[in-house]
Amino acid sequence: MLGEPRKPWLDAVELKEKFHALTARHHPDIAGEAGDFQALNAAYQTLREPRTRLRHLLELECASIPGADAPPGIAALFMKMSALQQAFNAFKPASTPLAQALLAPERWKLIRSFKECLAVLDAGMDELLEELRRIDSEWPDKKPVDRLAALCQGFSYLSKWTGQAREALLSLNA
Amino acid sequence: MIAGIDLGTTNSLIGVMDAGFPILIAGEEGERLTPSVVHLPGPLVGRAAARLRVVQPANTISSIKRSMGRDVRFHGKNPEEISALILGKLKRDAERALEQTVSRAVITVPAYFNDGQRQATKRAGELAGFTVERIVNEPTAAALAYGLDKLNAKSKIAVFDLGGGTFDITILELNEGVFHVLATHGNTRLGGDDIDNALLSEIEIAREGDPLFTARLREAAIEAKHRLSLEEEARIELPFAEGETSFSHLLTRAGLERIARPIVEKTRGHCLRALADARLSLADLDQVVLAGGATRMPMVRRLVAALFEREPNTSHNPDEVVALGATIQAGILEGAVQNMVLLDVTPLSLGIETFGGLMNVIIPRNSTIPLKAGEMFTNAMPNQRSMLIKVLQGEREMARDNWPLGQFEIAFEPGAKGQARVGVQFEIDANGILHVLARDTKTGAEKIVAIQSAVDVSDEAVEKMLGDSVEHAFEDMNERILTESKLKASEMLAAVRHAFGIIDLSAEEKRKVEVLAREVEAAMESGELARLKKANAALDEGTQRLATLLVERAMEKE
Repeated sequence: MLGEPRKPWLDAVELKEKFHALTARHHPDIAGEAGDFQALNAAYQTLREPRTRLRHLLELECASIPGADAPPGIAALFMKMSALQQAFNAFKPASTPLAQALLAPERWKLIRSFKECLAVLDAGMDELLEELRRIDSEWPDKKPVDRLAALCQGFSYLSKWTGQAREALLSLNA
Repeated sequence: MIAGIDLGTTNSLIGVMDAGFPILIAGEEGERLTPSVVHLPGPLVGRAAARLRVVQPANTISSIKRSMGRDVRFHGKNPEEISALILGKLKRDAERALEQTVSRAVITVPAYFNDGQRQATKRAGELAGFTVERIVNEPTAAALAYGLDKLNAKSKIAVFDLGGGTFDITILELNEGVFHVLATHGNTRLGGDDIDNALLSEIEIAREGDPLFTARLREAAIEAKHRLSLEEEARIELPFAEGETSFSHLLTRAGLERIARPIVEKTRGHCLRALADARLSLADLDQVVLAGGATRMPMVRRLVAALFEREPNTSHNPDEVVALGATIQAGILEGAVQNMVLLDVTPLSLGIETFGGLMNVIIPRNSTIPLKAGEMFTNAMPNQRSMLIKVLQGEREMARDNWPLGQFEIAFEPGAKGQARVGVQFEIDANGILHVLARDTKTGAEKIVAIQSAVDVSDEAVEKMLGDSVEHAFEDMNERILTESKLKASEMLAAVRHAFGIIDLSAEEKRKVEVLAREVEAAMESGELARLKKANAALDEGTQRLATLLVERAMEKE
């Protein structure tokens, strides 16, 4: 749909420009068919996210997607995230300024922990992206599908936890 | 000809394209704004109905938009039917002005409206005799109006839309005429109405058995609120409110802002979430534009300026910008506007309930629409004949915390476990409305699945709002405020005892707080709402220093 080659890395800005140009020509409000635009939209949504792009690539490359071990550090991060999330769920914010003042130390501690966690998650995401670029530079001579499957899983976990940590920080700062 | 309509909580407008430009049409009385007020039976709509609001409050309906998609009735009519009366008036006004039939329309809704609320709005349009060509999101419409004259530019804008009943924040990217919504967030029950309610309960606890007085007071308070956007103080006056005596209350802008602050502050979190979902930082934004009447308030403008670190663009009239945008979208659909196209998103994640009562997301929030997503269902047991699928909308992990859209049943061919397969397509159309298609993998036949609408447990507050007697509503409202005040009092009393254990106040200071705390206890005992509210406020005020000391002490320990 977007005329992109089948590879692990795509430039986000170029992809978006292409999507906008095609939208301006094929959107059903202007000229096109609803079904065609839906397909274009689905293609863009799939390709813009590393996680969904990789899954799609793996589906094209392999008969069945190889099972992947959790990337190193993921298990430890999982424990940390769920402990934090539990502490966050247990935290009941107060409605009056005095009661809020009493809870301030606990709130600050949670905010600090989530911020630290977010930094670790960001660093983890950067690592995954770096590896993805490395694989891309040798593509299609080398096709390490097992590594791609592991990366795909890594992106899944990290983006989910990043969302959770961000949401928790927003409500703690409110 | 397609008309553009802003069906607002407080006011509604209609417009059409004229020689490439959107124009708004004035009603019989020469005003472009038609109050979204209906008087029943009659019916009277608009300004005529608004005039009766203070005389017959029980027969006059305002803010019906807040009840859209809910199973409530007023004089035997549901919210769609009442909204249809407003749309019908706009239609007649447009036909009179244009001297031709106007039978097609684009209607706006808050971006954060869910599937049920959108469907209700569409049905309201149809009941009024329109073919509804598109349901478009209000902040996106506002962006179309703001972007009309800079189509060649590339820019990123935020639309802050605080109306009478709803709040939306939308982040868009404009690229050569493509208006691409990146993210939207909001609250369909946050707006100017909430400020009015808070103001009213602050000025005067509603008088039981005097709905007329309350209605007059509300009208006068709203007028004062509007004046305070330009002036520093306004007097709320009701001549001969109680026979001989008149009611008079001086409201300052600072006083109004103190009351409105907690409500206005609620917009902050939504803005930050939208930015995060759009994956933008403040520096990436080129401008922030305003829509909705409540953005006239200086404190709202200050909050927007502080939050987005820049002065908002106020070059359009916030009451009219959404209707102008709806009209432009109508122009796009009829081909009168070229080189513009709108890509909107679905505001809420769409999913189905899975094992353990969890929500399994199929289409995440802020996905560009129109969009299709497929899901394969298979039999979990041999010869299982059917499966019940519950469709949900919302962001919570547990299915029960999300909004139920409805349910449908898929039929399986008899077979071994995992043998029968039915593919289900979830499609969100350009209106943000869901359609479900089931495809039998054997025959390849697709059929539209009718979703059985979930029984909507009507919201208490809405029932009260629409109850036949305003008098009753206020009794119950006072009851609710009393419960809330008691909870607040208990929380504060516990906090005072706790804080005394940590902070050493001087004997004099301690005695002062104790006196205030004893009054709260006594007021709670008495069950008198006015007294308790006053005592709570005094204790809140009197413990400010204690709260500051606590925070300072905690900061030292950090």
